[in-house]
Amino acid sequence: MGRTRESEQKSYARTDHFRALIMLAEELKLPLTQIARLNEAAQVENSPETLEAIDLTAQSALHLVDGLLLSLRLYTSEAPQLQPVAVGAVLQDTAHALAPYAEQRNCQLQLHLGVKSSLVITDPVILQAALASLGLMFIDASSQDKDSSIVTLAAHRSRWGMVTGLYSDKQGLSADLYRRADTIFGQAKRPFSQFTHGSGAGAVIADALLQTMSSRLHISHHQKRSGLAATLLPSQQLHLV
Amino acid sequence: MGRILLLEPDHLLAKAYRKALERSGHDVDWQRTAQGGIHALDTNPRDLVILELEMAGHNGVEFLYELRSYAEWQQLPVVLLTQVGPHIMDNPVLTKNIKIAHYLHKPGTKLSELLAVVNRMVQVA
Repeated sequence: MGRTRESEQKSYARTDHFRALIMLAEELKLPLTQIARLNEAAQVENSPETLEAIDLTAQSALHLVDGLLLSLRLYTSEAPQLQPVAVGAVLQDTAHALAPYAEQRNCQLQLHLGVKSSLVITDPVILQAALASLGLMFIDASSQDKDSSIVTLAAHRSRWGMVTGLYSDKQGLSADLYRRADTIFGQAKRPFSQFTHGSGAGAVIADALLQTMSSRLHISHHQKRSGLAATLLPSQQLHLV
Repeated sequence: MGRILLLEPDHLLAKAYRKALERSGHDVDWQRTAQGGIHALDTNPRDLVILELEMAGHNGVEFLYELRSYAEWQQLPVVLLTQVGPHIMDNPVLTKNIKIAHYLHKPGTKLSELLAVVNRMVQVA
């Protein structure tokens, strides 16, 4: 008797997702307010730039919602499609998806691959959704600090695997902050208050997605910048040159 | 009309507020952080502050405490334009120690409503 492993996992997943849902609801207030105000501005200005900003804001909010829904489906009915994947390709696709959003917020996106061969075992759809959710949070946070901030998508080898994630030139991310934030996700409005004025839902959603592949976000440092990353298992498949 | 310090961390919202205020004839200095706000006031005197409480790093409450610690800024009107709900104005510690001229709940405040409050405050000042 007692709880089966499956029921324990489901109970744990519900708790994590409940917290993610609360944080997503908090996070969505900002883009919805942005859309309302931009719409008012558009009625006066008749500016294509403002209309584009409304569209981008809506897309970014929808992406967060889709990310959370994907993680819920993976916990309840779907399974990750793990396969050898070139992590560089996923980073490039993520950067491409984030580019319009970064440009809107005067944030420069950089890509850095520290390794020549970068095959990892992962589900590329889940990984890209996680990195994009995280990217939305990083771009927002960076743009709150100053103009021309830099967010870097990077992958580099460590002794445990391929560390893949996002890094910011903004101060405020540390292991202590992330550890404390993890304990108050879903309870505090702004667990990452030293880093961003938003709820940080992008990080929570990214973490929920990565957990479906037995990975988790952790604080990482790369080229003197702090960030959040996941360590992915390298593929032993030969990379054909 | 008035010289306004806009303390707003969000780039898009700040742009919308700033344009609306400038169209109304106000001179707007936009800062994203509490520290940036204090430094800006030091070099660029203002008639009114529009403040979001939820900022990364030092938040709006910390900004207000620092602002009111300086004699020359104790009477500077502050309009809260914030994501934080109206319950914040029930906090006696906050409202007793820090004078707040007006509270606006950001999600529900249209640009026209913000302008009406600001124009009224600037005329009174």
